[in-house]
Amino acid sequence: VSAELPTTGPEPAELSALERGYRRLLALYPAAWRARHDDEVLAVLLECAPPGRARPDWRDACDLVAHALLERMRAAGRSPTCDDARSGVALAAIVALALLAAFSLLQLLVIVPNAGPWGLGTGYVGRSALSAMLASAGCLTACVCWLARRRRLACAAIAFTDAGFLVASLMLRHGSYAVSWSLIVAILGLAALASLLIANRAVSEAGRELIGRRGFVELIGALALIAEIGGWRHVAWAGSVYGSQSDNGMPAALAVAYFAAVAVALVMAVRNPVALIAVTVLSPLLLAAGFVAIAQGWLFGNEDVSVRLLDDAGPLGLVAFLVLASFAALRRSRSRALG
Amino acid sequence: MPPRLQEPTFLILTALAEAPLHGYALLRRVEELSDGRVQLRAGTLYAALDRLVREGLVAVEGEEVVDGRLRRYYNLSEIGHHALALEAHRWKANVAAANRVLAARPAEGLA
Repeated sequence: VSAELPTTGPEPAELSALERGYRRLLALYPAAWRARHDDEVLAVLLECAPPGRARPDWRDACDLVAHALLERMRAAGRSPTCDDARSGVALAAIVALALLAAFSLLQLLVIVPNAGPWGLGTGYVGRSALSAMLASAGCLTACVCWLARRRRLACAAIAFTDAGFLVASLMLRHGSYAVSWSLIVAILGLAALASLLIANRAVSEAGRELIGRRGFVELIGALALIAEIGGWRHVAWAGSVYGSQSDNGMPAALAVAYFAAVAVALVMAVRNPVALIAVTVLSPLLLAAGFVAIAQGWLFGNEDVSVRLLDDAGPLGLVAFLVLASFAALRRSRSRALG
Repeated sequence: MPPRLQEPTFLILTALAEAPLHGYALLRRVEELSDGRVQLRAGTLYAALDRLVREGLVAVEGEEVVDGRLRRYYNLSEIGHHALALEAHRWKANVAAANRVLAARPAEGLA
């Protein structure tokens, strides 16, 4: 056993400040990890510090924060493997597609009755309906291809949808509307495309529970329900704009179903490492899409159905994270109490 | 076939194949072995060590207290030795293949 000690080290006063800094960072790790490694890692960090250093190195700080978060995820009972991560990304791709399809269908349901059967492609409303139809068809095709394990066809369908949608949006010649629609479709579409390209066809056992069987249908159903029911007020809002008779408000039963669907999706995400990764991948995307919606409101001072629907998705992603964190804290405190 | 080892993992196992080491010595040895290319941080090192101990590739050899600080020594297990040998063999084959291809390449390609 050999180990070389540094010939020089920080002075005692500096050491205490440095030690305090590193101890604060190590406090981010779970209690069980700290009990096992705290003193040992602190010794390594102090030995690595050059003479005169009074504060933790920023690279060490970033490294410790990142690994503390990962360790907390692992300590909460979820230890995603590489296969789980790939499965989670694959699941995120299909959920992004399902959300995009639900989102486009909602747009279609709102606009088409106002465009009329012969009005598609003509006038502002008609062209909106055309672009919404294009997006719906493309996303649904991609979903079917993915489920049939025709990954290349699914990628082609998304690429076609994105390109076609860009052209359709430009045809609209309506600045803010075209920008917001294009950005949102681009964010979700390209994310789905990227996820499909990097996702492995082989999925882990935990992934099969979600992707291959009933659990997958439950999760997609819950998320689609969130997207559809979350758009209730947007349908009502669009009714007032386009003159349809859909301004009926949100029935109490739908509100209960909405929160139940959120609960189902979150509980599944907490219980399954693959779902957790899918939620982790999707939440920033939804937040980004929500940001586009907010930015459009600031820049142009107006909103549309699609934007307001995703406006809800951003906070929803945030709430999902908060609830997941609460579950993890609960599990930790329970395991400590049992231990 | 066992999963491929990432470069830091490969270097950690290589360092531990020489002798049992504690965290600080392991960081320095990995840096030396990689000619300074790989500079592990403490968080990364202990995440890797935890995983390797869980997988049975590395074992805790013992502990001692030096200047009031805890030092824990890690050693390569039999499984770790086998995994490292397998990965080294794999790289040897890859290097041989690359050398064959490069040797067959026209000389002006290097200019």
